[in-house]
Amino acid sequence: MTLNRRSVLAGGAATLAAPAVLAQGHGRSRVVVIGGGAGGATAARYIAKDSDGGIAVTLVEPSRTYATCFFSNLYLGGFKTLRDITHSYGPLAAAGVNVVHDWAIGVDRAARTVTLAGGATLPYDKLILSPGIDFVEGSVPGWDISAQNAMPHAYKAGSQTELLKAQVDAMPEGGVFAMVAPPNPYRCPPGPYERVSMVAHVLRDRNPTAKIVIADPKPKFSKMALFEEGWARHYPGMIDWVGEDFGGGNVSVDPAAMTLDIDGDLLEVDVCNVIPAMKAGRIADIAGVTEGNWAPVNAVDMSSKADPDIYVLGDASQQGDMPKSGFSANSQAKVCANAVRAALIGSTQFPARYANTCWSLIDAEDGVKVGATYEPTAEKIARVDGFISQVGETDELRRATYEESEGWYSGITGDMFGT
Amino acid sequence: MRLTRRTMMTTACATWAGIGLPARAQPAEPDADEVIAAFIGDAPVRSDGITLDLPESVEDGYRVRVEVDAPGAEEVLLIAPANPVKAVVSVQFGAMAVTHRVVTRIRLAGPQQVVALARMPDGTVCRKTQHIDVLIGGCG
Amino acid sequence: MATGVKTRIKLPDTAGAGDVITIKTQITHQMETGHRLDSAGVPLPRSIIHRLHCTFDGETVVDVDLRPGISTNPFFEFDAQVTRSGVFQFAWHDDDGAVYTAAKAISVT
Ligand SMILES: Cc1cc2nc3c(=O)[nH]c(=O)nc-3n(C[C@H](O)[C@H](O)[C@H](O)COP(=O)(O)OP(=O)(O)OC[C@H]3O[C@@H](n4cnc5c(N)ncnc54)[C@H](O)[C@@H]3O)c2cc1C
Repeated sequence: MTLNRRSVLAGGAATLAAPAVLAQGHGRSRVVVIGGGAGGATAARYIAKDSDGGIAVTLVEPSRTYATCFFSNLYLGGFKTLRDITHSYGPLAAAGVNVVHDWAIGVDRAARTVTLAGGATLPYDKLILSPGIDFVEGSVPGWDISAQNAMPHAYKAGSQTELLKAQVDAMPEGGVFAMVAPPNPYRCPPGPYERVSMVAHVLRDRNPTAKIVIADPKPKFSKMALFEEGWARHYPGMIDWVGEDFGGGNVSVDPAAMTLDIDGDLLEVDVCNVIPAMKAGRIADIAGVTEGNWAPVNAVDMSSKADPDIYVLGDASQQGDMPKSGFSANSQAKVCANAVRAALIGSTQFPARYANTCWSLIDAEDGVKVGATYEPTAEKIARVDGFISQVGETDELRRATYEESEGWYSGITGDMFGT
Repeated sequence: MRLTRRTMMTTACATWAGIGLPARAQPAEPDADEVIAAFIGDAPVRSDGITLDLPESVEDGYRVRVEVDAPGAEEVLLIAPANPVKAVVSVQFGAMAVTHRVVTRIRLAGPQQVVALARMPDGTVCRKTQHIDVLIGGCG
Repeated sequence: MATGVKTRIKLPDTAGAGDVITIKTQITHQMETGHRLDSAGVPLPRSIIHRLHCTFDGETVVDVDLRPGISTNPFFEFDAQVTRSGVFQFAWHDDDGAVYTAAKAISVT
């Protein structure tokens, strides 16, 4: 191998970080967190912050910045910039979390170590996995990850979201935007339908004769009454939802020809947003803590049912009634952080309480929400109580709901990154 | 899910309004017993001859799949006693509709005993009742 | 007339004589119950599809009487035994007097 200056520098950065980790961990309990998203960043920060230096926390995350999926639909709708939804890991590092920008590629549960793509090995006393989702291969015939430029998923935020926005902006007059919606369970149940609302918002102003078609394997979807009412009110005649009744799950795509086949009807489309079926991020599988597509956890503390020294948070976990959302992941992370501190340094463990709220924007200032609180039972995290926006609410209330979501966004990102 | 009385109550109210049904009663609407009695008249009632397929529980009552199967029936009627308008749909079958089966999607204002009735050519009425729990929608 | 009304029919193009086929129908319609208030507190008048009549060359297949308990975008699925080629016709009757129609032929061999 020839070494040029660039690879030396890049290699140097990766190897420099690793020995630092090992040195820092000496004599203290060690927690390794894989994935710096809604679950992982929160857990890393809370453990570091509340253990007064008693626990060495290392966060492994390949990306230098984190673009939130939450509010990425609002970026598509022109309500937010990409900058607004992109966050740096700087403040987490400043708060004492050792942030290592690398991929975790292996977990040795017997030795309690994590291997990184850069070659380093990280020992742990407790390991927290919050790797988000990966796609189930072959779930949409004709589509695989190599087709993501022709038919973006935009279900991990960043360049994919940017690409989808550019494609919507470039749609010909009267063109067709198609979405292949995912089967349950998937991250952010109202996400696909909020996205359709935001695309419709852009098209209504710029390309009012354009059409939107959603092929959906489900018989119904989250906040359906609210979305359908909103679509009829703001975008009449623009959105056509094809559900289970009309073969919405029997689809295939041809990314080269830009066609979508729904139950035998072939459609030529200008943009095709394919959101495939989902499963836990691969590292959960590699760690051997998954059963089927997801990683089962104990409801009291988010510990893996397969290994008491591993915790699984957020989208990757299979916990019961909570939807896969950033709010849920953040809520689970705090319960987990409390349990991990209790296990390692004997701090008080409080009974677990979980909560979630999912806000969605249907049109400018027309915000809706659904949410619930949850408690652990022997089998699962079970819903206790819930609420949902109503159809026919006043404009003032809808505006207030939207404003509440903006407050939530700055709150959760502050809570994740310590800003 | 554990349903406490409090959850049940919030659930019923929220879902009621959430699917576009009113929180106040409509005095002009006949109640469920009247609707059922009007359909049955003085025909003998049987409990066989009809199947009513709907989920045991749903998160919300916005769009619930119902299938009624009544081989040989001339007409079927579906009743949702906890809805403001009790009669939900009736279907008359022509000679070509040999299976006498219909599937539709209905609104339900809360947990209730849904009733299906079928009028048979021999003058009897088949009746089937099924309970459904309607919970508040979570994110799912 | 309601805006953005779209009908959807699914049935096979061909069938054997005596086959029982499944027919699926849907119309996009708000199905306003008549029991709701708008955001200003004014009651919204009932506006629903109250009848769906499906015929085959003039003969009734099903005649459906819909009430406000039918969900937005009314969906119906039912079966018909076909003995000869012909045309299925569908008519949806709106409270406002509008009648929306659709037709689909089947060739029976
Ligand atoms: C369009 C859209 C809209 C949404 N809107 C909302 C909303 O309004 N509200 C809400 O609450 N939720 C929303 N969500 C859902 C929310 O984004 C996710 O549920 C949440 O991010 C889950 O957190 P997580 O920690 O499980 O995963 P993520 O936040 O995805 O974080 C996982 C991280 O792990 C890293 N990673 C993966 N594998 C490895 C590895 N092997 N080694 C190291 N790092 C790895 C990834 O790079 C990533 O940064 C939305 C999602 C989408 C797609």
